[in-house]
Amino acid sequence: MAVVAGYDIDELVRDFRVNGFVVFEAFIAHEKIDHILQCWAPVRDADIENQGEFPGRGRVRYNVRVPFRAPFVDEEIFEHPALVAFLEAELGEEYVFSHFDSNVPLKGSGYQRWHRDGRASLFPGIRTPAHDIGVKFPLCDTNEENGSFEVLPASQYVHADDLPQDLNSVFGDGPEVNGPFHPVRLNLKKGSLWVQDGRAIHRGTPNRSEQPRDELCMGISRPWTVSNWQIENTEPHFSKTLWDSLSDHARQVLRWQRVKDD
Amino acid sequence: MTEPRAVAGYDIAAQVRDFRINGFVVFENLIAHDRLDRILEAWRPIREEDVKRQGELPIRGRRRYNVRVPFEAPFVDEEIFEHPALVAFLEQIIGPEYVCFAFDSNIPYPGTEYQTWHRDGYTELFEDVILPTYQVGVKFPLVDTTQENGSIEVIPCTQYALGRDLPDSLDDLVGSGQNGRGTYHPRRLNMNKGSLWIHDNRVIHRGTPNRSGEPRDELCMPMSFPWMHPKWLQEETAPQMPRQLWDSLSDHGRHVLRWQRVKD
Repeated sequence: MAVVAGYDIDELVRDFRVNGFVVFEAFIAHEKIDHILQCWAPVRDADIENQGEFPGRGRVRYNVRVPFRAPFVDEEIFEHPALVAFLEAELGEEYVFSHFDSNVPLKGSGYQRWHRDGRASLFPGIRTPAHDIGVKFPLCDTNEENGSFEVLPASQYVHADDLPQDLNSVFGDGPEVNGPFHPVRLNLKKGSLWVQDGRAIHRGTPNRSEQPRDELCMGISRPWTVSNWQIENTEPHFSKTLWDSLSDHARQVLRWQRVKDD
Repeated sequence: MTEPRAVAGYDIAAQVRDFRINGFVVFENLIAHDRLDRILEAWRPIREEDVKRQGELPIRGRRRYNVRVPFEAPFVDEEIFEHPALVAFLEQIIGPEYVCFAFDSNIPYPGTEYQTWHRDGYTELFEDVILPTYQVGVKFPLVDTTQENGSIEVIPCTQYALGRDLPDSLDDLVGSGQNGRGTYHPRRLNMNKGSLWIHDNRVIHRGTPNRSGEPRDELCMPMSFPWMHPKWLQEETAPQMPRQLWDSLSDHGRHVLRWQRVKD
């Protein structure tokens, strides 16, 4: 397979399997990101108002559901041939796009607790390849000031049996990182897309800038992985017009979404 | 987790061991006959109505039916799915967080033929990786199952075979109908009424012809680790569990059925 649309897929897959995350740089055009942000800001603001100052992730750190509609559902992003090639290599051809949400620290957010997304270990005592991946793209540059992510590379295979519930007790609180561990800060340029094994240990950092640090996250998994969101939200929500406009492969990837008549 | 040995008269450690080797196991005398008779009586009209709707040639083959079982009494019965021996067994095999994600049935009517050899559900989670059990069928026939009425046939120990080692058609491997190739050694599972059996979804099995005059009813509660995608619940989103039944369940019964949607 090697190179697809300028990206060395074999190398990205190798790096992902070692590190638990990988970055596709210069993946999305800036004007596309700007358009998404313009449409996103009112959706995000309305939900933030609804959630209040102390949502589940900590003070002014928000997860807002992204509507499955244009311009957020964009085949130039989630059907980009390099991303499809990567996901097929990593999750198999039957992978699904199960849910769509966001990570948005506002000014004044603190350090998030060290955590993993989803289920860290499927079987007692057994380590398995990736089954659940976050495909994420910030809508701005992310940096030390506005709360870029911090990741502990290659931590995705550590078994839940080997860790306490409270990961901060191992890795440290806030700016203090315990001596033997070496997280890296993921400062990304606008237009980057990064892909993360849900099990890789990570956290958000304080946003000290004036602007929200928006990042949209597409939950993509092997087809046998449950999405709790879909168990809880059973109403048809996916625009029929949008559905009809999608390619066959895009519809396959989104096949768990429930289509409603417009 | 501590591993209990005898629970309600069943040697759980032995059952777990046998299941991990064979891919299936039988709990004999688990359900009282009068309970099964009550279930069969309530079941018959539901089954017949759906069989009529499905017609002569449903997807599993001529007159071989899968009818959804309503999440209602007397089918949802804690004396069965919350039997302490079954709970102890399932906790060992698919962890304490296991869920029941559907409820259906296997019913060959008189006149059915051999089913093709098959496995159920997802047979490989990761390509070329052999894993422990992640999904089981918990099944209980409502009658004796015999050579005459189409008891199930199983090939023991086949749950760990990898897809790459199997042809697309398992009949090419094992032989179709009565024409076994001789290389594989299926076992006929003739069970006494009151038995409950559990199989790893990957173990190779098939239905056999029902040459009796009666349907051979068996109800099936599939259970899995909670990280498995519940396909049926993905498609059937309407609330269907009566509130009154839900409220009558034990905490653990509700935990096992927590993905079912309760209707007022």
